[in-house]
Amino acid sequence: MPLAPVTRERPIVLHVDDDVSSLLMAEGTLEDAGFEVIHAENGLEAIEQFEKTSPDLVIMDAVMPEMDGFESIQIIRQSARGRHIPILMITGLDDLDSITRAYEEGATDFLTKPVNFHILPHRVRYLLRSKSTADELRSSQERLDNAQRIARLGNWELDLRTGMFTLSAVARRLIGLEHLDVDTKFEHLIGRVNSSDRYEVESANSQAVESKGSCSVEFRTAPDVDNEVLNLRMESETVLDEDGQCTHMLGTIQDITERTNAQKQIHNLAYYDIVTGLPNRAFLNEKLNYNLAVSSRDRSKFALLFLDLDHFKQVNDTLGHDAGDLLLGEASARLQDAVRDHDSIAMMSKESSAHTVARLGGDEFVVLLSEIRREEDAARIAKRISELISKPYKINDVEVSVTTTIGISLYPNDGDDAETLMKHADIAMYHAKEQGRNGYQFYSREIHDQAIARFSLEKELKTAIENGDLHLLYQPKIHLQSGRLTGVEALVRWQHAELGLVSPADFIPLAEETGLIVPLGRWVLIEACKQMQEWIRRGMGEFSIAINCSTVQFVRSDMQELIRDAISISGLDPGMLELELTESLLLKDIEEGIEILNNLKSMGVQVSIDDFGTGFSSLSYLKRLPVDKLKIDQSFVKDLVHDKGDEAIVSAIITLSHKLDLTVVAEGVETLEQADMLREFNCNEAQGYLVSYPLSPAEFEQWLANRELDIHRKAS
Amino acid sequence: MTDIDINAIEAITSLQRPGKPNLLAKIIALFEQNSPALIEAIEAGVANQDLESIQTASHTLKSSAAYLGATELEDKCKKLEKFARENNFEGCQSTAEGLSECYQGSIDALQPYFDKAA
Repeated sequence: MPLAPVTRERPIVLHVDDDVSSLLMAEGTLEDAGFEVIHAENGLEAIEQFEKTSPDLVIMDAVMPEMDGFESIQIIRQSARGRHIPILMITGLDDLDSITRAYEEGATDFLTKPVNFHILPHRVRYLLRSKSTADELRSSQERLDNAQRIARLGNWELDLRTGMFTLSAVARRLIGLEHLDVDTKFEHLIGRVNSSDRYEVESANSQAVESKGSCSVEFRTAPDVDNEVLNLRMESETVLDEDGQCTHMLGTIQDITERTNAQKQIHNLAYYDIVTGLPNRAFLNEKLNYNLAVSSRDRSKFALLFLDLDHFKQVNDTLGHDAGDLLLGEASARLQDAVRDHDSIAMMSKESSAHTVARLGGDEFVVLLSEIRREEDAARIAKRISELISKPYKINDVEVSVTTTIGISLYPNDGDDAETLMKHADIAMYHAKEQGRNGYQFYSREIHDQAIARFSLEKELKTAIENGDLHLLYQPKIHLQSGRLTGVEALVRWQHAELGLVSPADFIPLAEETGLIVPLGRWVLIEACKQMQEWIRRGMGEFSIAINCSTVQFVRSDMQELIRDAISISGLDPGMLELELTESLLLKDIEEGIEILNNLKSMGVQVSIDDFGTGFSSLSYLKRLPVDKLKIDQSFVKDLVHDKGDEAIVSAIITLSHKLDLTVVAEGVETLEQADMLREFNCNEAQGYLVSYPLSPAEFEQWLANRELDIHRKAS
Repeated sequence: MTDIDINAIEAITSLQRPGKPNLLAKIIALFEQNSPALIEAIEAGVANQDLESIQTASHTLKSSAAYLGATELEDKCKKLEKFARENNFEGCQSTAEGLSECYQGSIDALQPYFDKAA
C-alpha cells in the first residue's frame, strides 16, 4: 500500500513499552515503512528520549513501571514541542478505563493489545498525516489571521436560526468588541454602529435576509472611550439551505478609514483652495450649474458677484507672497462673514446658508447668492462686502489696506448659463473699476439704476421710521343724514427732505417687500391710538379711529399682540378702534379670514372691509365674514352721478349691506350731487374731499370745532 | 504439555525481515530471560500481600505471553492483574498457585519453535 509522504524524510517514532518483545516486533515494520524508531522502556525514559530526539510521533504503552504512560504524556503535552504531537496509546483490550484516561491526558488515538504490528505503521502514517493536516489548518488559520490583520478586514458569521454570532479577532477589534466577555450577539455589532448610520445598516441587513441576497454598507463606529471612530465597510450575504430558507449570514468588515480620509482629502484638493480654504473654481462651477437647475425650475433669481482686491499686487510685491497669502486668508474670512451675517430679509427666506464664496485664483473671488428676492439684496451684500474688505488688515504687524470692486450679474436677467453669467459679472466688475474702484456695479445699467434708487429709498424709509420723519394725517368720515363726525381714518405720510412728500402708493409696496411694513405698521397703529386717546381725553366727542392693515403686515406679524400693545400703551378703548382690511386679505383663505376676524372682534375691535367691490368680491363669503362695515371703493363713487352702471353697483352694495346689517361708508365723495345720491340710497357714512382732506391733528381739531359750530348754527 | 497458539507464532514469523537476526528466537529468548523475575515478583507479591507488584508484573507477563501464544499463562496473568486491581487478594493467591508450573510448561512448549528458528 503506498504511503503518503510526511515532512521529515524518515519521521522519528518514539516507541515506549516495558515489554521489550513488543518493541522488537514493532521495530521491523516501522523501519520498513520508512520510520526511524527510538525505544524507551518506561515513562521517564520516554520523556528523556522525547527531549533528546524530538520525535514526530509517540507510541506509548499505558501501564509501565517507574512512570506510566498517562503521566508521561501529560508531561510531554505540556512542552511546546509536545503540544500538537500525535500520541498513540497502547492499552489492554478490555481496559476501558485506560482508554478513557488516555484521551483525557491528551492521547491522539489508541490501539489495544495484542497489537497487530502489520497494521501499526499504517496507523502511525495516518496519524502523521492528520497531524500535518491539522498543522496546515493551524498555519492556514494563522495566515488568515495575519492576512486579516494586515488588510484590516475581519469576518463574521450569524446563524439565523440560533442567533449564534461569531466574529474573527480582527472583526472584533474593528467593531470595538474586543473586551466583551459575554457571548457576542449580532445586536452587539449593531450597537457599535454610529447612531446616525444604524438605521441604514439594520435595514440593509434585513433587506438582504428578506430578499435572500447580499448587501454592502458603509458606516462609522460609535464614539467611545477605548476606541477611535472608524469608517467601516460591511459586506454580507445570506446562505440558504436545500429548501431555499436563509439559515446563515456571512459577512466581512473592513476598515476603510484611511481610504475615506484619503477620499475626503482628494475631494478637498479637488474642490477647495489650499490658501484660503474656500471652494475653488471647480466647486463653484458645480454649484452654479446646480443653482441654474434649481432656479429655472422654481423661477427664482440668484446673483453672481465677481470681485477682486484692488491693489493686491502691490501688497504682494512689497510685503512678499506669504503676506499676500495671509491677506487673502483674512479677506476670505471677511467675505464669508459678509455673506453669512447679512440683512434680515434673506434670513427670513431661510436661504442664507446657501450662499457660496469661492476663490478663482489670485485675488479673484466669486460670491454666489442663491435665491435672492430682489436686486437690492445683491447690492446690499455687495456694499457690505466692500465695507468689510476695506477695513484695515494687520499682516505681520504691518497695517495694510485694500479695497474691492464688485461686478454683479443676475439670473435670469443677465444670462441663463454659467459662462454668460460669469462673463457678465466680470464685465460689470470692469465697468465698476472704470467708475472708480471700491464699488459695485450691476451688469445691466437699468437694473443698476433701479436697484440703487430703490435701495437708497429703502434705506431712507428705514431711517425715516427710526427718526420719526413719518407723520399721520386724519381724514374725517361723517354721518350722511346728520352730518355728524363718525370717525377718522389715519393715513401715513412721508415728508422726504429732498423728494418732498412721498406718496404712500410708492413707499407702502416697498415697505411690504422689504419687511419694513412691520415696524411701520406698528408705529402707525400706536401713534394713531395715542392721538385718539388724546382727543378723547380732551372731550372732543364720540368718534372712532380707523387704521389700514396691509396683507403683508398680517402675514409677518402677530396682529393680535400688536393691537394689545397699542391699546395698553395708549389706554384707548378697543371699541374706538376700527381696522380696515382689504377683501383680498380675507378671501385668500376664507376659514383663516373668519378666524382672524373673530379674534379681532373678541378684543372689541371694529372691522371694516376696505375698497369693497374692486377685488373678487364674493357675496356668499361676505355673509359669513363677521365684519361691521363695508367701504365702497372710490372708483364707483367717482362716476356715480353719470354712470348708470356705477349707480346700480353702489345701490346694490348698499341694499345688500343693510340686509346683512352692515354699515356702509362711501369713499372719495367729492361733490354735493354724489352726497345727495348716496343719501338717497341710504348710504350711512361718507368720506372724501367734500367732507375734508386728510388733516394734521391741529387742522382736524380746528375743522371739528368749525363744523360743530356750523351744525349748531344750522340747527338753531 | 501446554498448548501454544500457532497463530501467534506465525504472527511473529511474519514480521521477520530477510537478512536480520531471527525475531522469534530473540523473542522467545527474551521471554525466557525476563519472565522468571516477573514470576518471582508475583509470588513475592502474594507472600507480602503486595497487590500493586502483582498487578504490574502480571500485566507485563500477560503481554509477553500473549504475543508468544502462551494462552494458559496469558489467562492466568490476566486474572491476576484483574484480581489485583480489584483488591481481591484471595483471588490472586489461588490464581498464583501453579504459576511457575504453567510458565515452565509454556517454555517447554516453545522450545521446539526456538530450536527450529535458531
